[in-house]
Amino acid sequence: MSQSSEHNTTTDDEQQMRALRELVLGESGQVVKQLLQENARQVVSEVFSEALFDREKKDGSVNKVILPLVEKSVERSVANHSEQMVGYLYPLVGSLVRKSVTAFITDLMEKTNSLIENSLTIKGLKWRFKAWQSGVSFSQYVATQTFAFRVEQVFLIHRETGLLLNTISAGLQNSADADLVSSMLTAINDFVSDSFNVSAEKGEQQLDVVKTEDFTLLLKQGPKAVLVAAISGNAPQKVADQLQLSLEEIHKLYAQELKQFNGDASAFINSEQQLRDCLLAELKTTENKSQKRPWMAWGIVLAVIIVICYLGFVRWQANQYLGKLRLIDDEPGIVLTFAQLSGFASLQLKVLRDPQAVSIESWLNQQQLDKADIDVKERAYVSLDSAIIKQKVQSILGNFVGIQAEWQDKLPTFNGELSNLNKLRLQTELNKVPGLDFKTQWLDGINIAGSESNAADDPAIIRAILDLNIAKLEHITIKFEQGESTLSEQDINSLIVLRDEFVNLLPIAEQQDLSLGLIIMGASDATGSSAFNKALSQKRADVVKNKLEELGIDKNRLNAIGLGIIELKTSGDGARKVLFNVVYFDAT
Amino acid sequence: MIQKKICLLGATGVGKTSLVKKYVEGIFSEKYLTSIGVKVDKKELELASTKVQFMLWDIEGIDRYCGFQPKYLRGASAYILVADQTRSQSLIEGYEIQQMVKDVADIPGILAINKSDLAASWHWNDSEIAQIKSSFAMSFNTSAKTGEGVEPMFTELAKLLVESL
Repeated sequence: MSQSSEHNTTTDDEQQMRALRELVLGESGQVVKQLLQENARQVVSEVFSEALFDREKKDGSVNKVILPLVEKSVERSVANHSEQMVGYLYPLVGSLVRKSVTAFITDLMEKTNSLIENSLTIKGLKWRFKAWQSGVSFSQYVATQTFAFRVEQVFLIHRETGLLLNTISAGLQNSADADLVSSMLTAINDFVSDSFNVSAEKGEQQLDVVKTEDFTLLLKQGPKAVLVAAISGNAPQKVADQLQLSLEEIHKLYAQELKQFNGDASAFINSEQQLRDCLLAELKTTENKSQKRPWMAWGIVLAVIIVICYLGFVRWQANQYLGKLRLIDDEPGIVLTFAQLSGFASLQLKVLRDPQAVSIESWLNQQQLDKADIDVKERAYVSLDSAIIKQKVQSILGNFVGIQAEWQDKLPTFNGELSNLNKLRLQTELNKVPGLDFKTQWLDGINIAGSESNAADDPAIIRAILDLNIAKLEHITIKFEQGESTLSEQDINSLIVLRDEFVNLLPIAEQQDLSLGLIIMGASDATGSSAFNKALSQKRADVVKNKLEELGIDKNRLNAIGLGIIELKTSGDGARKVLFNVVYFDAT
Repeated sequence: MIQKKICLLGATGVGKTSLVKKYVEGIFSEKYLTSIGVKVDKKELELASTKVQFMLWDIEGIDRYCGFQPKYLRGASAYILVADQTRSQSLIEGYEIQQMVKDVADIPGILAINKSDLAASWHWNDSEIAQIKSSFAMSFNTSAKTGEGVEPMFTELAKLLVESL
């Protein structure tokens, strides 16, 4: 009974507690939850920053959570508000670019400067020679000569494993394989400390300095890491002091990383700043430097300027010379087709020259120009310059003694005394001068020397010359288009020549008591009926005959015949023409 | 990149130096071995997850009369003990070296039974060898001459060390 009442009491208590809890907290803690929910904002905001800080410190998870959110927001901003983003970044990027460009230019200037100083001074050349002599690279030698000392490279080494944590070097590249160097240094350190451990009580011996004549390895041992500086020249105490300071700083900053080092050196990338503090250097003598003048450089600059001036002068001279040369174009019978400077000071000249004109060489001599640097390419042509024509006429007259030419404007008249034969020869010669457009009346002033005894007046010879000229005349033909019988301008010119030749022969023929006649023979090809062609060929001959009459040949001396078709297999187009035949017979 | 210090140990003449000669990109000459008893070589290899750079400390041949420089083992992540399968003595000495290493460092050991290009001429039977092998983390038959087993040994070692991180 008592047991059951006890049991009942317990049950009652539980029930009462539950009821009480429900009263205070509400069903399943609703009251509290509601209360919390109502004030949630206030409660959280009060501790929000602190909570973030604590959690980040504890396991770094806040960063991980926030990072993707931030990344996403930035990405969104860039995509949607790119203009604003550019606006934010602009001043930053601008100054960054300026800074890097400035740094680049400064660096370039310094390098160029030192290059000139080191390469072009007498000292620089001496150094180069000495560096070559002692078998070290020039830059290394310069460093030893320029700097009282210089920290070339700094190694941060994990003491326990001998593994390299970080390294920087003063030069552009690490000269030695830093990984191996740091391991070997550790091995050597172990070797030294073990081999020369005089007394065990004093603790481990540590390598502090390794020194050669002008190279020092300075080691600073810390509990977790070793800092090593490779120094050229004589290192002063301040390098050791700086190493100590940097080493302490690294131990302070990277205590955790050093302790937990498992071979991953990436945690020590930022230690570069501390290492860089150790890259000390000191120039040997500053006063010496200020006095130094790059004489060699100045000399070279001066030499370059002189050379440029000289070349400029030569070029100017060549141009002047070219200007003078161009005047050759004014010379009768010479046409300048090309004149240019070729190469630096030599000239190239291309000319057309009439054989009658003055030679290029003598022209140059006349102008007192040097021929040395001129390359002349000369091609012959026939000049129609009146001066050249005059010259040609004069040179023909050289063969006819006693004949003078009088020039009125560009037209000559000749006078003097000649035999008939020579007059005819002169006429032939003059006819050959291109551009002269010879007229027979120019010879009207020439008296015929009628000496019978002159062998040149022998009728047989004159007859022969007459035959020659007739043959020449008979070479002239007038061609026609198919079915045509009209004369072109060219044909008329041919007829004028024919007229002149023919008329010139008349007095000679008369002198020999011969009467000249010209038979004009029209012909046609085989196209069309023979009756038509007969008529066509006659018509062609008539047209030519009429024209010659018009040109002043007595019609009694002309006879036009239509030959009809010339039936030759080879004649082809050539059959459409008018041919001439000169006949002479005794006038009596 | 993960760097690891590995020590190569073994009796004189088992071919430790030859074993790594073709495998590494070192710059130091072998004269270091005789002067300070160690030569360091470097080898990079790439695992699926990361790059590993081994600093291989080739430690001068050890025999029972010669002392052992325990400092060289300091900070090592593993050691490779090289034995010569044409000389029974090399395994005995190897066993002694293993005991010395165990005294100073608790790191995994790899057994490299070298000169696998030659016929085995030691008088160990299979069960004895198996027993010795069992005291090592891994064991490989290698040949410095043909290169057989060398690459796999270092690759497996890299995996072992990186995965134990």
